[in-house]
Amino acid sequence: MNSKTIIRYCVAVSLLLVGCKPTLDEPKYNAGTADFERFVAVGSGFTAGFNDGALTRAGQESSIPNLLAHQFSFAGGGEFKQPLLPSGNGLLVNSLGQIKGQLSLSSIINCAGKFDFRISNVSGNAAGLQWIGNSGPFNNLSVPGVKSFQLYSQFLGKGGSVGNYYYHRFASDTGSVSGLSSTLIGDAQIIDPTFFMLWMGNSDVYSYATSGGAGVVGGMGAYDLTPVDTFNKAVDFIVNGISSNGANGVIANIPDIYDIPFFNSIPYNGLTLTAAQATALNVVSPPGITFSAGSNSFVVENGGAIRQLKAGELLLLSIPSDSLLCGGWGLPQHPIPAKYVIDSTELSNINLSIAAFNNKIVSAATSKGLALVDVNHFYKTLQPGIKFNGVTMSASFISGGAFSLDGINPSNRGFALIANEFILAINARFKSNLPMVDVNSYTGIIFP
Amino acid sequence: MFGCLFAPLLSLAGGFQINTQGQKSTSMGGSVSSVALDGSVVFYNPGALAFINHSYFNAGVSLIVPETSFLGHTGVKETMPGQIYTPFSLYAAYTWKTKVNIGLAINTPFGLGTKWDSNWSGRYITQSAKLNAINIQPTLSYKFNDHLSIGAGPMIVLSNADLTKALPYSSNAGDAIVELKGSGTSLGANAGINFVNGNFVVGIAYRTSTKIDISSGEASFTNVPSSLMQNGTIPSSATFKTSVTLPSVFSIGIGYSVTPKVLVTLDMNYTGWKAYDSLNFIFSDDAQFDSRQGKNYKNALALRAGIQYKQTERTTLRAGLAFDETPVQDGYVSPELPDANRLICAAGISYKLKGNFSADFSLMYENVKERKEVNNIQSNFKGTYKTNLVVGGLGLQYEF
Repeated sequence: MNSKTIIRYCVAVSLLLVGCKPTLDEPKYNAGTADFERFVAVGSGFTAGFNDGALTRAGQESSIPNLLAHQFSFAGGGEFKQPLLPSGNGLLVNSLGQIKGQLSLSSIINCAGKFDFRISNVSGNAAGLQWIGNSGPFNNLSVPGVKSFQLYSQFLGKGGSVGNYYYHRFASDTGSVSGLSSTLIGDAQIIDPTFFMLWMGNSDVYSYATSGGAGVVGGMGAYDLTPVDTFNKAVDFIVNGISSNGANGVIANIPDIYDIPFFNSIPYNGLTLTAAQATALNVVSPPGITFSAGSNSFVVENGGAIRQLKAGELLLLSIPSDSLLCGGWGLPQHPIPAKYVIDSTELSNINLSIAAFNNKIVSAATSKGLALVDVNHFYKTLQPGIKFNGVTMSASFISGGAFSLDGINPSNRGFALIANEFILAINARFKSNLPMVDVNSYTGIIFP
Repeated sequence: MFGCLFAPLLSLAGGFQINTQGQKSTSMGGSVSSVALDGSVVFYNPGALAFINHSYFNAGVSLIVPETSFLGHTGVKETMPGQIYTPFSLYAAYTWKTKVNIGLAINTPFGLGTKWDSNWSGRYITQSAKLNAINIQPTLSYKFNDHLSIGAGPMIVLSNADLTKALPYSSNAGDAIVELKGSGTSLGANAGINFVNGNFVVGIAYRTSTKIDISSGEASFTNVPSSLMQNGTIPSSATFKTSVTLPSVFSIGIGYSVTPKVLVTLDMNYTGWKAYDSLNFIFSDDAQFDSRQGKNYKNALALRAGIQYKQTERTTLRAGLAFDETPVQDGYVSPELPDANRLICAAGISYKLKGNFSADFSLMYENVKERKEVNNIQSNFKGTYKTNLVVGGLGLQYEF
């Protein structure tokens, strides 16, 4: 064979190979009938990026609106500016302006001598309270703890007991001159949004629930369940205001509390006794309280009397764990204080409020043509656990990975999971084809 | 979280069969089960071994350069970092007695290797997967007459596997990692029959399935958050059992010498992948890590065609085409070895060197069809895979 033939042969083979060269094209994303150019988010801690018991820079960067904005950027979305905290320790601030940092997990030998996890606050970063309202306008107008009717309150930006320090730090006007601050909805309108997300109503329920029903039904106080009328008016006001320039958007409903680890991690009948212990306790117990070998209902304080919990009633994760484990809490001598208990009446109040609020959210979505995210249903699918790229995440406290260390707010991974529910709803409603968020690139629980 | 600890760890796909077991056969698209081109006949059809007129020693190595990309539902395209795999083959085929020839094959008919970036989006499913299997097959072939021969030999298969993935337990130092390692030996057999009539040959070969039992595999856990080691959630190491059945392969081929210089061949292989219906890892002391996962492979067909042209006394040119059906069904496509139907084109040259030596070159290109997994049943890992393989082969032959 001469060299010419070899060359010809090699050229032919190379051409054959090049001809088969593969491609895997990245898809073209489009916004469908939505316009993501100027996007604002209005909501509470769930959308602010509040988790692990505080607002942190890392949580803000993983906030649902921020994740959505990043996906929107593939399909015409513009800049999304958040009122970011300084990096480092986070901010948990009460109405007195007292601060703490976020929760962190450490390992200890517990009071029973066993290896256990301990959850405690790191120190807060006071620099987070500094006013940054002059560096706005901001696209994420989410304020931890804010109730529906406070979204247009002219006191909210003042901080203190009348307002909210989380808004005070980035309100465009803190009201120091006129006495009336800017409002969240007003600040949202500065953006002149083309698209909005709204997830309101959570604090209208959870402040009552997390306090063990400390407030009243149909009140406007810190621990009250917001009156349904008030909530309905607030939804109309906010939705009309934010869409007044023709913006479309997405709205989410409120999950049930019993799907959340803060309310479902400690079983009502978690008191385990031997036959001998049960017999001894029955001797000293008041009438109506009886124990047997095995698992027993905890004894709680209820309306000045003591009784045993009934199936379906909830104990809160805020119970001091050492007291429950070693301090004899839940026995007749040490009934669990009412602030750690949601009894059947309180639970019914909560469920009725959530149902009413969710009805309003659905009707607002329908009448305005908004995409609706059924987070309430999504939380139910989280109970057995859902799989993303090989990882199962569930609502189990700590081990499940979807909720943060405060047991109420999602972890950063949980935020990403929920962001994907938003994307699915948006894609379905507006015929867009936004890609999913890679949930596993966000942190779940960081173990010591 | 525990249930999926060892979820879809190992996937044996069509590509897990390595069809480059000799440079001449590779050049002809693997379409050689009816013809005895060199020592590789011992493996491709023990029945045709009796028809060789010379003895052969063949040694060869292939360089497999895969390129695999993945486009997930998050819209990010990820490509496996470049790697090279080098399956080898050694054959001896000896003209022993008038009617009896003997041979030995030492080759690598099965194996896989995938290695993704350690931080890629599928890291909780796989970071790397490696399976090596070496087949040792002594063979005897008997010729009844000038038309018919048979042959057979036992296959001793030495295998080892090594799988790595991340676990969704993180500390500030990142994710925990688990590595599963194990090895096992198994037995099988390879038999064939060959029929020659003038310019026309027919070959039928059957390799049995062989079950690799890995009875004392080692799982080692690294970068585990210390608290999870202390509270016993994750041990530092554990032992496990698993078994993998390498499938049977039935082949039938025909060859026709169009002229003394031109040979054309056609082959069909039917691989019994149905035997691979699940993959289970059973841990001796840590039952919470046990995993049982369906694989649900189906039997798969391959069609092959080849042509050989003896251009001069010194040079022989070959070319081949093949279509290789995937055994992996929708719902079971996973990134350990993302499989799909393949179209294979190949070409090669043999060149006589000094003395009794000659050299074989082969070049093969496998176009693995783009494959979209809508919903992986085990992992919910969705996306589109695309793989191409370029395989260069070099062989040396001594003929006497």
